[in-house]
Amino acid sequence: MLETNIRIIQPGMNLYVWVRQATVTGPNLTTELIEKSCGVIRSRYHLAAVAHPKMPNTILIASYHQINPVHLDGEDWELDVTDSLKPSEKLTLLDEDGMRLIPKLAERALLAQIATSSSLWTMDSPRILYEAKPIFIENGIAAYRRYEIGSIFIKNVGIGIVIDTGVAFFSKESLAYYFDSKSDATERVLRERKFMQLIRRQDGQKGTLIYDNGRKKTKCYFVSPSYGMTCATTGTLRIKNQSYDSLFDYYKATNPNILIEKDTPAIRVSFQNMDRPQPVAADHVWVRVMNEYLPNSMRDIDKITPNDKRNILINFWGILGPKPLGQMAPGIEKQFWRPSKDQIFQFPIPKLDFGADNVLATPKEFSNPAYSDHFRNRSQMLRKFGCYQVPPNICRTFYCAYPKTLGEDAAKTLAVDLASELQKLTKKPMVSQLVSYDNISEAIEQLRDLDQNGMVVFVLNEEPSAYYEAEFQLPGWRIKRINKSTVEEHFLYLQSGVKDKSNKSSSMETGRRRWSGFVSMTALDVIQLLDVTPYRVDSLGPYESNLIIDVGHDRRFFAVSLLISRPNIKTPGFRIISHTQHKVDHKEEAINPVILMDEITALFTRLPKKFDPLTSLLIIRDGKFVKQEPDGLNNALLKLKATGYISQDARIDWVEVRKDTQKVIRLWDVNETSIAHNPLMGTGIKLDDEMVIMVNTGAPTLPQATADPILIVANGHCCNVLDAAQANFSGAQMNWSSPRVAQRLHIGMKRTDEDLKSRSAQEVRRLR
Amino acid sequence: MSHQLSFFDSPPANEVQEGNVDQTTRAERISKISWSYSRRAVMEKCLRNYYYEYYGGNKRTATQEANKQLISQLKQLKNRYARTGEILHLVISTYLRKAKQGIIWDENRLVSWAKDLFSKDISFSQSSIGNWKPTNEKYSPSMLSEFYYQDPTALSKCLFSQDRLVAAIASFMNDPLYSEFRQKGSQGNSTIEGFIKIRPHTPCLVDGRVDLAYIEDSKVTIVDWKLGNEDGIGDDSLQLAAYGLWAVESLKCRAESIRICKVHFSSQKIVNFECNSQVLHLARARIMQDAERMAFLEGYGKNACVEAFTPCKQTAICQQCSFLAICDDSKEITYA
Ligand code: SF4
Repeated sequence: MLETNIRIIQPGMNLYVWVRQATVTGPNLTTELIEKSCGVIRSRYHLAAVAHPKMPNTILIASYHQINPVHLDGEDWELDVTDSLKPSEKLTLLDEDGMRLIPKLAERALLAQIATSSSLWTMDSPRILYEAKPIFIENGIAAYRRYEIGSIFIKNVGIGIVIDTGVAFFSKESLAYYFDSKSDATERVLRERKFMQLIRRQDGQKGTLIYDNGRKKTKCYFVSPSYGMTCATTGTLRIKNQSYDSLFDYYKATNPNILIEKDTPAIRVSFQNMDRPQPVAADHVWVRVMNEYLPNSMRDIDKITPNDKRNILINFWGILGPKPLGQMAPGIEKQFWRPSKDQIFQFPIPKLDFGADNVLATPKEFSNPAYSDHFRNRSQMLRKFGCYQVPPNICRTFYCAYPKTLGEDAAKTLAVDLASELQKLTKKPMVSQLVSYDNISEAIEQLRDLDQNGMVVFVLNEEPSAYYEAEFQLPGWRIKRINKSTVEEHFLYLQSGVKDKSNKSSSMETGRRRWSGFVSMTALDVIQLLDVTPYRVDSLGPYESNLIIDVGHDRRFFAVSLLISRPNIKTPGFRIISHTQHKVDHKEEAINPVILMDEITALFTRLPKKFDPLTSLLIIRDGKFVKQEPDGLNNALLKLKATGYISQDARIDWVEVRKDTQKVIRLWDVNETSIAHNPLMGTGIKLDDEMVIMVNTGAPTLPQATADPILIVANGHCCNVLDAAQANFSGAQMNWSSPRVAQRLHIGMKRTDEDLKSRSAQEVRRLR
Repeated sequence: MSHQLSFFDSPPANEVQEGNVDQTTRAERISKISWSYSRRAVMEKCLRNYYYEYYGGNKRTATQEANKQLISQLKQLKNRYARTGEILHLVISTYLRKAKQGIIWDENRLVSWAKDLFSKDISFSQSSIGNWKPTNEKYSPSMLSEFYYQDPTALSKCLFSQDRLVAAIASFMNDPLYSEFRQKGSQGNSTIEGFIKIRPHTPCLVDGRVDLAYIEDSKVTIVDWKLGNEDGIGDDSLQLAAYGLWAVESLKCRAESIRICKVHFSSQKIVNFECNSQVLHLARARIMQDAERMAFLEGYGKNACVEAFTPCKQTAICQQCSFLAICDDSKEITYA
């Protein structure tokens, strides 16, 4: 039985909420300030509030009774909220406003209740809550259970509250420990090194910290160590037009309960929306350790099986009690929501074409064993029959550039094993050539002397701008980057085996397996850089092509990719291309429409001259279409139609794919004994005509964690959202980097995602 | 059935042909860019402002810009921070230059000169509201944007800035903290307001100005004057790292032998920047990354495609912007 982590608010579709209209007044009101006022009303007065959808500077507060005037202020803003004195309004789920606003109000009512009745704490987002005590501490890192809360309107069902759980990591020690000026020189170096590892300073990361001022916890960023600076010696601070002689004076004047002394060490950090770094008490600041930076031994800790997740959430709901929304609703359903049969869909895995016209058929049944076989076969067929398409002029020599400190042994083994793996995949002879270097410039020079352009597996040393230098100085080269430490780690497995859990004996066989797994993963990445198509699907649901648009997480780049997959009677039958471009207006979420139009049209000009116009295209915005992006897209489509890339009568649909969905919905199958498992990949729920949620991963290739679904939203631009879902599922079947395991994202989205990550990894962020 | 697309018969000049992307290398694309810290700062702050500053208001480029005259005029406005900063630099550099010649200007003379310059700006701005026409005269007073945009609190804001300017000059002259700079800056081998134009192993040009530099016992000291408080950027300052690149390139010294200081007159603090070859390496990469962004915008700028430059529309930034009068997207932002 398919179940979700959603609980429906009683009484389902009959839920209604009384709201008061209130006017917000103040200088320079912005949308953010109005939102802020709703947030403050929730946290100070425990009332849910939302911005009025139609009236500017007006908010709706979930209350039947008149609201007393409220004055709110912050660091650099102030505003007043006054009841409009109009009669209370009844929002129901039968009208548009109700469908849109009640979920938000319900979510906020729940957050307000949690804030008054639990010890959970929040950082920046009120929707993400952390348990007060860590669940365990290891390697100086404390793991905290976290809960993420969302809400959703489900047609004919009602409002659902979605809660997901995960694990977040923080340093056990505060920054006062890492930058203790009293520690001796050796200890100081060790602690500082450990700190830099935790924040990944060597990768040019800013270092995310958490600052607890005793009243709330805020995210901030590391600026620089300030050995010897104490709260009393920071110098004058000017905050909110007030001068304070020191940080100590500031705390005493504004936050007398905070436990600090004059000699408490201080550290400089930067906060979002503040141009200047600020000193804060170092013993009130900890490192937020990102999951991807955890030491190897802790990598799997944040993986939670569906059954464990379900039990944790049942327990959490138990703690929230029968009326978790307070007065807003009579209660909440005691069971997780299970969609009706007609809402559930299951896409079959499409057939896949491999080299030499070999086909891997659709699994005969929807079952774990059939799917397991299928994925095993993907990998076997790839090795046996080779790739679907290998460019005839593919380069046969690749270089392996490595820092001398790696040692020739490791580099040689990597290069030889890689060549043999590439040969298996491409069925072409491949040779490697080693290039050793002391510094990146030297490596670049040598490579340039050897070839004009080519393929290089670049084992990068620790030079901070190494990756950027390599990409910049080697135009036209295809570069597969590997960090030196990754090669070292795997080479050690090969040479010394892998220690068992008790750390007593080593298995050489496991070590060899890890090394060859690493080599074959690298080979799969290399062939993609060489424009090889390992295997393909016939079509993308009802579409011939998908265009993907994505913006990097720091908004400094955006990427577009185009996947064409159609019968070979058309030219080209199959092609994937992508392109990354600067997003100079990085403070803006939206891509500038003029630039978006230009980049989309430029992408098409990279297609072969001989080209059959596309008769159907699904455009996927990874995230949300923002502001004038649709204008840019429409103009690009007009141009592409005018130039013949897209036929005039082509079917063109647009959807948004929320891969990091705010709604944190999970799906699992619950058996007769109430044990939850991941559903089979391709399972989904049609929430309404505009929205589906589906899992591209899941059973049987995800044994340890809970499948992470994607949410597909049509927003009126797609005539059948299930078609878009099918295209997404088909696109995800090209799991070229790891054929044995299902892939969460459509290959086009994966491409843009990786391109953006690669550009982001090259960016120097520290200097500004 | 495949067919040849008509599009390819006459591809637009600026679009790439099939197969390979733009054939020019990244290095070639940035080779014509002149990077400066101030140019980067404008680009980071607001792209629309960047367009007005470097294309729309520039006589030699963006020739199709319909509002060129107005933009060029607005470009000459200065806000109180920029103008007082400019005066501070002028006064200190004059003091040091004169001192080099053995002529010592005293504090009173410097202060009254600075005050006079800024007072003239204020009275000129007050009398020119609504009828200001920029002139090409070298020493004509500046039109202050606070008055141009009729900020009701313009005068008090400017007088406050004037006080800060005066305090900074007095502090420069009297505070023992700065005695080394006064002394060494007056010596023969010092560089005062020296222009930087280098290619520090970068394809692009690096442009700028060093406020003060001198060499003593093979150690190079570079000083940057700031009227305001500490910005807290410290070791992460790209501007100071760029000075380091200049010193290595022009003075042929080792990164580790360079001392770079930022003097913050308001907080009376000297912040030292730790210069080493690793940070200069990073600075070089950062500069090239900025230059790549600038090069990407170049085509749009030259073609006067203002829409490609997204306006920041942030009240705090717009209120300090000279181009408020032309920036349609920020019409709602006023000084009120
Ligand atoms: S007014 Fe604002 S948006 Fe317009 S150019 Fe100036 S800073 Fe940019």
